Amino acid sequence: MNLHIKLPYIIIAILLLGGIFLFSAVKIVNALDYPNSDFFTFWLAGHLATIGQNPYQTELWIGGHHQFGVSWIPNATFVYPLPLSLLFAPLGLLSLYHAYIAWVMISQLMIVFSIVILLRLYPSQLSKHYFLPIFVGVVIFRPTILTLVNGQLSGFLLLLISCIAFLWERGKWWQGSVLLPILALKPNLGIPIIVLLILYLIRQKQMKSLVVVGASSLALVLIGVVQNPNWITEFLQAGSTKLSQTFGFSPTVWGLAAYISGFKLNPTMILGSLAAIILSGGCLYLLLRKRDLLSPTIACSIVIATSLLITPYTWPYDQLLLIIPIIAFVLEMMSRKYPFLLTASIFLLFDVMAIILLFISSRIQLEILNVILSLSVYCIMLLFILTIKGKGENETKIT
Amino acid sequence: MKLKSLDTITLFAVVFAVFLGGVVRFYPVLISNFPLNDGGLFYQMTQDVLDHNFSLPLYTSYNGNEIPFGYPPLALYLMAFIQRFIHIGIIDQLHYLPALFSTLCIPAFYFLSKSVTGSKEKSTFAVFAFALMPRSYLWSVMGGGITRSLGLLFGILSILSVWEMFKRPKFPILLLSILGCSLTVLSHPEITWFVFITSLLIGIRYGLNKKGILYAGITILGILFLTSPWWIEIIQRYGVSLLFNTAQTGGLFSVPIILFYFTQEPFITILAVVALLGLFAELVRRRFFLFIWMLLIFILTPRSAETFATIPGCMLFGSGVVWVLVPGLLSYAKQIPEDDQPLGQILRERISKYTLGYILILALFAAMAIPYLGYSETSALSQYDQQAMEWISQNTSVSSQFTVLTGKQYWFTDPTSEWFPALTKRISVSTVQGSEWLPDDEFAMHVERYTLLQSCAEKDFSCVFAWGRNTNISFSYLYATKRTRGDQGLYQPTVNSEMTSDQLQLIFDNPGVSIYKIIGNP
Repeated sequence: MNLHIKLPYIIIAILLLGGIFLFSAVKIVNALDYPNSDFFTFWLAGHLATIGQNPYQTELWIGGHHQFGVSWIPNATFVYPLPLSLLFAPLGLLSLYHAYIAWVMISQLMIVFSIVILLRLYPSQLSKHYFLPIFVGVVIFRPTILTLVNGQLSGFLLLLISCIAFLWERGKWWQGSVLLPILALKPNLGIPIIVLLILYLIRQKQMKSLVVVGASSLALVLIGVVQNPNWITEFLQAGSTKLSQTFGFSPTVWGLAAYISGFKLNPTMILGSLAAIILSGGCLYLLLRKRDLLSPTIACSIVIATSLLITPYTWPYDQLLLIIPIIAFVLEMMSRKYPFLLTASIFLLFDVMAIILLFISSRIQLEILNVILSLSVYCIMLLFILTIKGKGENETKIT
Repeated sequence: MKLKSLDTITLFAVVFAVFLGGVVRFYPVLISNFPLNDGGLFYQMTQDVLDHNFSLPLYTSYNGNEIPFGYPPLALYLMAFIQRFIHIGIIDQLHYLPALFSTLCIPAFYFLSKSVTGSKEKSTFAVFAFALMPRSYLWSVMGGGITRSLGLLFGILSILSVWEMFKRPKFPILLLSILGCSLTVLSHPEITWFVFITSLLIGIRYGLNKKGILYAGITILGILFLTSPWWIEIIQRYGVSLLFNTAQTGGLFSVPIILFYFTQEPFITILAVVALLGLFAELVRRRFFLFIWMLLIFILTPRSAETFATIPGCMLFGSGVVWVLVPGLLSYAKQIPEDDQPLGQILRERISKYTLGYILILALFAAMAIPYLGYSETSALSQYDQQAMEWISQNTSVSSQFTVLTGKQYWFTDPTSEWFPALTKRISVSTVQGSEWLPDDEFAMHVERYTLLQSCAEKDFSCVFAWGRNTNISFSYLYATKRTRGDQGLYQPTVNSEMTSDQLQLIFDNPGVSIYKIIGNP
């Protein structure tokens, strides 16, 4: 298709999307008690960064809450890596209200771009038919709406991983690897993803990319050091406090273990560790032993599902990342010429599962059982990859 | 009406619409741990049915044993039956059943639309609009929507049967009409009225010939016969006037319908705009039925006009898509599509596909966002309220009278005031619900009192005492809700004068509610 034909459509689409995203962001934020939200944490960190203050200082952090009339104070200090405050510094220059609107709008755009990027990994004459069912699936996926109303980071992480998968698929290994360490800005999810994907890079013998990951990580650390030389120590202290407060209540194997064992610490640790080892083992087996079968997108998919399961702290909005494995699964099924109705319904089936889990969560007043969603995606990806073996070792690489 | 006439694309589209409609109906229900908004009155009435061993109680024990048990009882008996024999709690039923009945309305609507418009294509687009248009379900999925959703389901089926009966007078369809209309009568008074005026319109549309009049007469007699055990009992007990008391709750005309602002879409009112285009397309083709139907709803059913208007409104949306939007989009290729282009052909055109996909995503996103946009219809009794009401039921005397101060602007979206008498078994002197069944303009008086009281929420407690003196109402406790995280609409009055504070003793407090005992006579 000629560029001069496509360009007006692209501009119109962006304008239409931008307009409606802005309008919906305004509506969403107007209806929220926005000062008492998750987003305030990010905004306050960004705001403090613009005035050269340290978000790890309890007095400053609590004082910031009081200054902006916030009564809900979930943490005594900033609980994320310091460079995240720089990422939010431009939004910190705006008022909280306007920054929240901007972030909700940007999050919507990031989610849409992620879908577009993932669909572009597959032949367009086929994948274009899946745009609507996938988009509908994403809109009614519970983590999507939770990400937007909470002002969370999940949309940003989704875009980052989509870009990494896209660049790696196109053979641009080191370019994708530059982005990988940025995932650590949300360490509970980012660190396990980074570790597992580094193993994938090693197995793929992408040594140059590993050096880039190291350099990019160092750059992130240094950016923080320029702001505050002690930030790593202060961050680790704040992070461990947060972990101790929330451990065992998340939709992860740790939460599931706690739920099964009646929230007793020792059985939780034993059961949780066992489950984490088994799941990580499954993931490592695929990453290390099935390297020829795994495309970067499929590798990212299994890594995301594993990380969501084994991380000690996560919430249902983080499950937005499951969009990547679900879309990858749908499109792999598509390329294997499964019937359209079946493949187009897959995302909707996960939506139904998320809604059933919401029903259960509202009954038991706990989000723990949402782990079943991540577990299902994990199992499906695992089975999907393993069945390829059954067809013969000389099977072509997925995608 | 016949399923075998559906082709695969249409069947898939209708199933998909029902699925999406189910999601947007159940989503706000599932993120709440209690029935949405109202339902307290029906909870108590169902409890009364159980307490009377399924005989019709004389009065409901809701809020002081004074309200006649005049409400059409089908939904209440259904819930009592489920509670007694399937052992699902009434609260759980009020939580989930309305969304289920509302979802069932979607396929029923498709068949109605197909009969009325005579077009499978228009009806396919119409059913998506009906599935996702917030006004078509918001008032049905609430706790109190148990009667509304059941009534609307039977109402849609009744109109469908009546339409088919006038179109092709046959005995089985006559029986279906009688059954559908009777179930509607026993479910919801206002929807009965809506079905009645719609049926009249359908009768006029098909011309009142001898056979039509005969069938209409038999239908009316059949309905009177089938519902007689209920209405004869009611008339014997309370007189005919009771059946007309509920008419006091309506106003005059529904302005949002004239402005085509009835869809309650939160972002841009795309469904309403396309429906408006569809209205003009209908008029230029000299097809007046949907227009007159909307007009009748505007004039004759003002209380729930917006909800009823979604039925012809969504059919107009179908006309807007098929007659205006798609031909307009295709005109760039100098294509002049037929009036009723097949669905497959419409969806084969790339521009139609993109535009309709965009509208679908927009409507879906809006519907999913509604629970987070501060719509009072999707609010529910907070856990703090539930705790406080539990405490009251255990720690105050049965004869205690409470004033419930919530700061809500409208009584019909105030779950605290509505659920208070049901959960505490105490009297709330400020609750409006149920008073529509009382004689002598009691309802209007209750509404006025309620509005005056809630305006005190942003003042101080002396305002509440002044309200008590002016309305000549005595109360021994004050129940005041507090602003909590995520709630921007509630304010607790501050005790800002020594005189008033001396008259109040805080006896219960949690992050969402304070309960005060009134000491002495203010």
